[in-house]
Amino acid sequence: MVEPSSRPRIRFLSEETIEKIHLSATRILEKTGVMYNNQTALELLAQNGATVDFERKIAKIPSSLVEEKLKEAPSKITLHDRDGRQTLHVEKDNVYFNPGSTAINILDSETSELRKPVTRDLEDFVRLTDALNNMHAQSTALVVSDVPEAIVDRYRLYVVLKGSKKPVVTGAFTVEGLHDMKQMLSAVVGEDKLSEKPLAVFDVCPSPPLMWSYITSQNLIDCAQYGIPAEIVSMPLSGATGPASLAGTIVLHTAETLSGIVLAQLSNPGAPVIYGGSPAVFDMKYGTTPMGAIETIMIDCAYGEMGKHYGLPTHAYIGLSDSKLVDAQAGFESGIGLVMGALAGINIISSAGMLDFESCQSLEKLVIDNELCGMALRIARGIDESDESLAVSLIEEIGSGGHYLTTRHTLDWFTKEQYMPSAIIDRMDRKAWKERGSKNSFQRAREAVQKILQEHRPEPLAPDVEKQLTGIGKAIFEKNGVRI
Amino acid sequence: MGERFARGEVYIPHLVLAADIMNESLKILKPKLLQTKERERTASKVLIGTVQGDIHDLGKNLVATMLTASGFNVVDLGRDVPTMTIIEKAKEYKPDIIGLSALMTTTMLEQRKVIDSLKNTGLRNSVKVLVGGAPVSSEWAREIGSDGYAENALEAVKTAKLIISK
Repeated sequence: MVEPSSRPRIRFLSEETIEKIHLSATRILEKTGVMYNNQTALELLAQNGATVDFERKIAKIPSSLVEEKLKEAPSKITLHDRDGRQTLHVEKDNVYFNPGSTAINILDSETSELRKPVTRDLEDFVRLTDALNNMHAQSTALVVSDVPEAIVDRYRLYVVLKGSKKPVVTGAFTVEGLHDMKQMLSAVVGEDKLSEKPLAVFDVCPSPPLMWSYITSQNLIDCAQYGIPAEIVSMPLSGATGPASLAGTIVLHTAETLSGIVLAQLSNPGAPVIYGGSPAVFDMKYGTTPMGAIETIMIDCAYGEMGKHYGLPTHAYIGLSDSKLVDAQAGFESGIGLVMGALAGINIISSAGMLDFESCQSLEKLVIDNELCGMALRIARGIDESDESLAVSLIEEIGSGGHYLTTRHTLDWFTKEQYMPSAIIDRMDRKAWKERGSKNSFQRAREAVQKILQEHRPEPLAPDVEKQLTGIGKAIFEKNGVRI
Repeated sequence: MGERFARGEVYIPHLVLAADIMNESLKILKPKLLQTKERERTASKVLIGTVQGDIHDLGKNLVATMLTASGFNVVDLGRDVPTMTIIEKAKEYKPDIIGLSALMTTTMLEQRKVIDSLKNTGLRNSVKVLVGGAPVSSEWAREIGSDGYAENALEAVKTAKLIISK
């Protein structure tokens, strides 16, 4: 193991600035307040010392309440896999990756054309994610078009739970959706284990600036009450739904996130929450929300520092690309974001595979990003500074000339020092590369996808669990005319 | 300004500011303009709103601003507008166009519901529907039976003019 002290770290904010941002955010919550389009939330806040204007649905939250509730939120969340085994320790500077989620399009492997995903695509996607070593969690990545929209949130989770044992980052589109999804999770982990051994995280998004819709605020309340971890995903747009200054956007992000933490803790003290986000700068030319913009990445890393300051688990939609194809832009935007996110020590990094402003998934990009994630993890491990690593006696022993290839030290060290990429990354000499078809990275990725989909068989669900999950799925889906 | 924007000389904030100035000026000038009545009568009416479940209204506001600046008579229903409200207001205002905005992949599904409700209430043939929002595409617009789709506020004005002339 590498000493934690040698872990390289990116910091954008000084201690002083962090304190200033915190005071600014709590001041905004106290003086300006936040709109909750949710009577239950407003009443809860009013009962606990907030000044609530029920007409305008605005709650002004005293900073003392914010400070108090921040203390109640747990500093770590241990996500479990489908079999109830501890898998992800979402805390400190641990970094885990999962695919970007809720794409409404998929980039077709054969044609590189955009199309609407169907169930088969999601099944393939889940299988691929299950096989990829640097994808630590699943996500309900695709909005499939072959089931009615009214139930697609539950259906996505159903497909993921059936197809992989990895923990999952998901979300509900409706208030009822969350309750149904909780039923499914209970079927897999056991009703009583829902909060003890959490398998899924639910994204809940405030709407910038300073608003919560009924659905997302209710999802947050329900998650808290069930003890299901909720990832608060604030997403101000610099210059459009947030200040054009990066620091101002971080202040707004902090205020919105704190407003969610307060609501969750009021609903159930000690409710697990993740300090997440999906902010972006607003492109002033095209009116788009570039997730791959360098400033978007900077805001992400900086709010991650705020989350760490509060001692909370962190998350970011960082490492996405806005490119429409799996091309050079897709590679460098995702590469920069993933490396920066890992260096910032953000605990859950959701982005792999994603293109086109969080709207399009690509299987090929997913396997390429899996490599980038491996490299990002490597850089975050830093350089081992131990005496054995400095290897002075070895260098003296070998002296001038000679080689190190066959020393014990080399055999011990090279596998732990070097990240071993898969065939996606080309390191052949030109002759070997030519002999194997002169393929570019996209072609290599396509072959890897095909190979994995053909060969990888995920662990099946235990038969009794499978039966129970299918039963619950049937009850939910058949009402909507979907046969499973 | 529209042309300068298209040439990349000015950016969205300039464009919106210019439209705001235009709209504020019109409020003052309108009563004094001789042809005001004529204008009121002939201006096409647009009912616009962000669909139910979605409280993002930046895009919708930009479109409303640009449409107003381009001479449309815009009735803005706001955000998180229930489908039933849209139907009721459509009966009340008899708009030429209904504009439906959605920011999230999770709420764009509501756009289909509004169009289906317009069909069920027999209103569909008397009004054009224009959809927009970050996740929305022309394919989606076609799929749900919308008359038009616009990528941004400027295009929304062009598309609105186009579908009305059809």
